[in-house]
Amino acid sequence: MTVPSNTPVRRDHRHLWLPFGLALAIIFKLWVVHTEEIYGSSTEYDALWYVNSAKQWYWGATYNWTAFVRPCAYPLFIAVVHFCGIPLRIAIELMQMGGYLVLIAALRKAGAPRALCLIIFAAMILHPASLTFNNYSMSDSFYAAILPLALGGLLLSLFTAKMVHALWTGIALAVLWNTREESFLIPLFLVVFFGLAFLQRRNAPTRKEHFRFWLKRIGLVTGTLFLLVAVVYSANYRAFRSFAKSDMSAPAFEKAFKALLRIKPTYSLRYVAVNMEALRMAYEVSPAFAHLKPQFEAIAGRNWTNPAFDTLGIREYGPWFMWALRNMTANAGYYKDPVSTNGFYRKVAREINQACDEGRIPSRLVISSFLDPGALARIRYLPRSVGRIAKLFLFRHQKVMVRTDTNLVPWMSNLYTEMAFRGPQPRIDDSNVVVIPDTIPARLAVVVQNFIGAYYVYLFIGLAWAGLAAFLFLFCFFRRWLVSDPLITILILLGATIATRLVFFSFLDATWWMAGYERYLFPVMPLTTCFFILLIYQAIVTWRRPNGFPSSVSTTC
Amino acid sequence: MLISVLRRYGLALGLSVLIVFKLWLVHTDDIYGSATEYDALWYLGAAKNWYWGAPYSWTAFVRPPGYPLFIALVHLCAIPLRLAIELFQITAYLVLVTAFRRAGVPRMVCLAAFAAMVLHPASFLFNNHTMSDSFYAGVLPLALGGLLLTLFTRKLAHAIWTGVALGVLWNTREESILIPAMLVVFFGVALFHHHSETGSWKTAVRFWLKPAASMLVPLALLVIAVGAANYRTFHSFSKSELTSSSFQAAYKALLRIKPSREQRFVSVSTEALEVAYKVSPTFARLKPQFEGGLGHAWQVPAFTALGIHEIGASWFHWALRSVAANTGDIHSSAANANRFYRDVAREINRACDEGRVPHRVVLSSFLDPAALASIRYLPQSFPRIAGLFLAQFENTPGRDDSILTASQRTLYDEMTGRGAASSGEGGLSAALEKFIGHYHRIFIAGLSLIGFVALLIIVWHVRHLRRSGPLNAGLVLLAASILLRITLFSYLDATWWIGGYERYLFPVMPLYSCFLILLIYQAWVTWRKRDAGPRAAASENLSVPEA
Repeated sequence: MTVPSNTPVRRDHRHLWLPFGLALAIIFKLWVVHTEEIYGSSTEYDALWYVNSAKQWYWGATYNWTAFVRPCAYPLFIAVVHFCGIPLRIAIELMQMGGYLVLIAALRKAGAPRALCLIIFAAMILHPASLTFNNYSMSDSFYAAILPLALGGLLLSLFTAKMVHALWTGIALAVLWNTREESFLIPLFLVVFFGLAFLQRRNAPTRKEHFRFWLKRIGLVTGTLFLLVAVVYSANYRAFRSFAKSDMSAPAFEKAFKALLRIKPTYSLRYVAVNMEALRMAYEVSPAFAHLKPQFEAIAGRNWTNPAFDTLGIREYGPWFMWALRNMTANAGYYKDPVSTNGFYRKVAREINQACDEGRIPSRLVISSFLDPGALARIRYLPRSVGRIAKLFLFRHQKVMVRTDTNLVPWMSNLYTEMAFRGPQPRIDDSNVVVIPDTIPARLAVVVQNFIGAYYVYLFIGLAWAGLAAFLFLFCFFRRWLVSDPLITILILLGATIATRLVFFSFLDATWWMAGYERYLFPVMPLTTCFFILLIYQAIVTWRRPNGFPSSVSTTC
Repeated sequence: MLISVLRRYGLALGLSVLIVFKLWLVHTDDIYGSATEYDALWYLGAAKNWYWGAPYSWTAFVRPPGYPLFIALVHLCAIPLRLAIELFQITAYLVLVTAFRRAGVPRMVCLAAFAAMVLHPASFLFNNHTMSDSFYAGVLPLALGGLLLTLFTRKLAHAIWTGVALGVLWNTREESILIPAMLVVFFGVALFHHHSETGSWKTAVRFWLKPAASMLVPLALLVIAVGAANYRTFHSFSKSELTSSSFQAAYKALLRIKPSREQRFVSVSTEALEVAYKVSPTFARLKPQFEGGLGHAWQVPAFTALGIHEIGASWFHWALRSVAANTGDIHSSAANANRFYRDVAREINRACDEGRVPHRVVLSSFLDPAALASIRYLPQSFPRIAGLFLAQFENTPGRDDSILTASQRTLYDEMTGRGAASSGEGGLSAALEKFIGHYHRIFIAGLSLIGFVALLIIVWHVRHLRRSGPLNAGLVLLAASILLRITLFSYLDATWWIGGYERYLFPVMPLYSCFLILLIYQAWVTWRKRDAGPRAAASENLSVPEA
């Protein structure tokens, strides 16, 4: 036997109620959303694109201007759950709950009480944003699952120092990297993780050994991340001739876009990176780019100016320029194969850069294709944007009673049915209205959903105020806690993750485009609730500990 | 370093790959629309009403609540039933594998055992049907895994949840009698092990009292809770109506009537019924129905198989209830039905006691007295039942029974989430399923043969076997569970009805494959240790991972 006979019976039955409570919370959440299904969206570059790409296992798609316009992780996730016969709506819910459970495991490792863990788990899974966004086949819902998984992995790596946690966390980070475009946020919170790792309590006899100890684990996290990212990029190279995460960040396309950004127009408009004047100059100096002129000036080209025109009253492309450029290039017949497309973009870049270098057109310094040089001038709008983006955390949800977009055509509907296992809707008439089964559980689930959607915000506001007070308390009594305290470690990592995302999207709100960022913030919304609860708890613990540090914490680096 | 990590965590990776493979294999399978209103269809109807919400009828709680409540729960969570049952079974096998790891079984052997269990072709067929056997096939390994974990870790937490799992198992099918037998084996193994280490039975009993209580109390509570809920709704403190005291009393009274001639597979003959009509005015109310079309319809299976105009033993319970339901207002309410069956029992028993009818001793309503005479057929039945482990399994063609009505189809679609998780076309996965279903028996036959050799090796080198070895305990418990089930159904095959036991054996079929793999592994270990002697036996503990 694994336990000697003289070992007394282990009375750990009190531990049973946390898994029991978590199981109940999971069943409750599944019940709350049991009337939900994937919304039939006709957005062919967004929700519909992911489903279509999944059908081709991403790399099997026929080459065109949207073939790999987005990263591969979410389409592959859809493909895998479809492969296993699991409905997408359930799979995304289970995936998110799995992510939160890992985070809870990390909290338990940090010594958070079971009741607190249960409250945090319930608060995260019942966040109203999940009730809205999980119905859409958009990568944000998948990102919302992988982010807590990766954070949980990082924390478990810190608290247990086990190599296996470092290994799978590297894999989770690689998936996160390939889920959305804002991958550069990952190195930011990895830097925080590295800092926290070196600040952990030292078990090694010397600083050098302590450093070496953590370097191994950090090496495994980053090594796995780099390896998997390289594998994905190589697969993209093999299929689409671009060693990049997606076509949007393909070197050839980025070069062309960067060259267009270099053209300095006489006027600069907020939210407009490449304006009409810059385009006109580009037509003049680049014969290759001039091929696109008829396309840009045709109806298809003008259509891309509609969003900016509707909002700002100007005929400019705004943040949709990247899409417009690719679409016009495709319309001009360049998207026959990846080699010729890349060649075209490189030629455009070369011709415009040459003109800029020779001073034939006014030019400006472009640090990165991501950073519109004109955007820096709009950094003054950042404080307002931070406030506006922060307000998005006060999310309210109301059950959408419409099943599909009105312009959803049969092939799109069939695609959703096939790939997302969208359930057949009980037809009472030909309307597009969601039919809620006439049963008490179904109707009650909708009522509960709407209740959570309407009142969660008050819980969040209360937590935010209490969290602020807790933060001030901890700030004032900073001598009573240590960075190596596991809960403080969690708070720092969570805080950094939330803050980087908040600041990043505030920057985009100030410079790139206003509004429409709710879904991008969804991944950190439940984490913010978790952060506030932990902050309050830590303040209470610190307040109850007047003599300073806990007895177990004796040495720090 | 990466290799060592992979070696250490290869099991988790292998298990994940197998799970994904199994899910892919069955991803085109869906719940079959069976029109069997007392079987597959009944479970859905009961689930729709959360079992206790069903309006009273003669079938309202004719089966135990475990499986209908499972269907209701997964329906509440909008998980397709076909997927839910698959995930549930996979989880249970994972618990069993965890227990084996605790017993120090190497990762590769665990992986092989898991593969053999999860890819058993019987699951391709039976998981497509809304019958309680597929749920039982999930709960049984879960309970066994819990028992083994309790044995190996001695944690009360494991004992508690195992008690709950056993409670669910108890309320899933009628053959709950196997659970106490399994528990006796478990506590026997636990006490034996403790005794072999401490040398004192008293210490062993004292030590295992708490885990036993932690296990038996949840089990008893769950059984009582279900009984109480049934009493509140249907006025019967029992698992199901077939085991309700009044119905069992009536059936037992009918069994007491001794016919002039005993027939195999007939527990209550037409002659016994005639006698019962005469001595029980209450029972005589059923005569027109028994002698009418309905009664004759219940005779069809026995007539088809045996050429006799009798109601077969396995159908008599159903026939009696259905005939009663079609007579007046007997089944208009639970109280009425109970009163009717009690009156029948009282009248027949009084006649027997007064010697007005020839009678015989009936020990239990489960044991037909005539069945004991048929016990001589057991040696024939045992291999027949064992032979089912080598059966070929092929999926039922088509999606629904042709007689399935529109409302029944709607019930299937609603309660099982049918169609939501099926891409419809078979392709490679269906071909592979077919291949496994076809050739799996060759694998089992080979494994059984090697297993037999392994058993001989173990018996031959029994001196080298550490009696308290954890794997031995696992093997004993697995073997007992499998044997108990085979014996019960062999007994039923010999006395109750012939054939049709495949689905009842499904819960132990994957466990049998697992058992053989572990047996072969244990023989191999014993063989290797034959020269090393006590030194190796002493070092056995070293190979066991830290608890």
